[in-house]
Amino acid sequence: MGMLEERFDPNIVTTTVDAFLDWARKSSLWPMGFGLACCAIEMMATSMSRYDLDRFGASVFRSSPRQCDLMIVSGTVTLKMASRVKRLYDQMAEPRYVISMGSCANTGGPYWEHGYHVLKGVDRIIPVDVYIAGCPPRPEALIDGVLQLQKKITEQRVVRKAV
Amino acid sequence: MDALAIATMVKDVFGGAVLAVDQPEVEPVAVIEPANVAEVARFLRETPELAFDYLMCLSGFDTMPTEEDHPARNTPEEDTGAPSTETAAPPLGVAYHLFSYSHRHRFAFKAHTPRENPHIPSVAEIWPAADWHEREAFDLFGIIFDGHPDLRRILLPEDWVGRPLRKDYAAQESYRIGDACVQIARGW
Repeated sequence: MGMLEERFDPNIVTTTVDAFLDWARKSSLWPMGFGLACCAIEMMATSMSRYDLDRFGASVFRSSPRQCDLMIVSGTVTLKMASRVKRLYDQMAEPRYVISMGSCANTGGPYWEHGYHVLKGVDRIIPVDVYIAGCPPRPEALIDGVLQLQKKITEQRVVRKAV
Repeated sequence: MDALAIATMVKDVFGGAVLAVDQPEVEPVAVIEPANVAEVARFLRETPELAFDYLMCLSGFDTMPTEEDHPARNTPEEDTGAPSTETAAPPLGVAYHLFSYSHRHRFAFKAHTPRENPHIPSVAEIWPAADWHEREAFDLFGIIFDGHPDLRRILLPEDWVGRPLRKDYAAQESYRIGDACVQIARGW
């Protein structure tokens, strides 16, 4: 951008298509409004005024998977719920991202050994971008997860070839 | 009215249908002949001096001893003290906990039913709260409540195999989700 810098009027910004798309995607991550267990309480707290996830453009919880970019799997994924989670993921429009929040969604958590009814990690049915450890993770941890995801998104390439 | 007096009262009316009164010094639980559960329940609800208008809880249970209750013995000499194997099929059961708002008293009774063909009359007609509780006991123990309006699984998926809260339940190896098949046991 260097040679184009400051050669236009002050209200004109120059950028690349990739940087622009990535900036747009990361700045308006709309999560899906669904929670599975106690992690969902922390997720709700994160979106409220004290932690204010909206600072990062990721707090517009949508009721329809068609309008969502981000699925926060917040809680225990039972086998009965797993088919619903997969269907919701399939209904989201691309580009779509998944944050696995908490031990249950990561690996089954306390149900790892004896949970006959629990999916041992949501990554067994849908691809996961960011894992957040914790039981449940604190809101700061979820915010960190969102920031990690945003960092990941800024590294995406749509037009340019990967270097 | 205290629970022992209520048990005596039930026994006076139903006689042999009351098989025993468990743990009388802690919290008495009347053991009822399974075939008579519905009549006893209706009596408890409709008798004015009892008036049990609130079914606090209806739970299924399994009487099979677990490994923790009776750890396996190592030598044959020690094994003589082990529980006899003649009770090869310990029964299932259902427990009912009742409360009366008008009299502020409580009562509990239970009934056993054979493991192979567990049938108990439904009390959903008497206490509507029993509807979902009986579905839960059906779902997790396989107890069939005769006369229940809508006896389906309530917690587990429709296509689940087995009754998970039975002590001899063996978990499924895998489960189908959409067109994928996931392992239930830990690890891949």
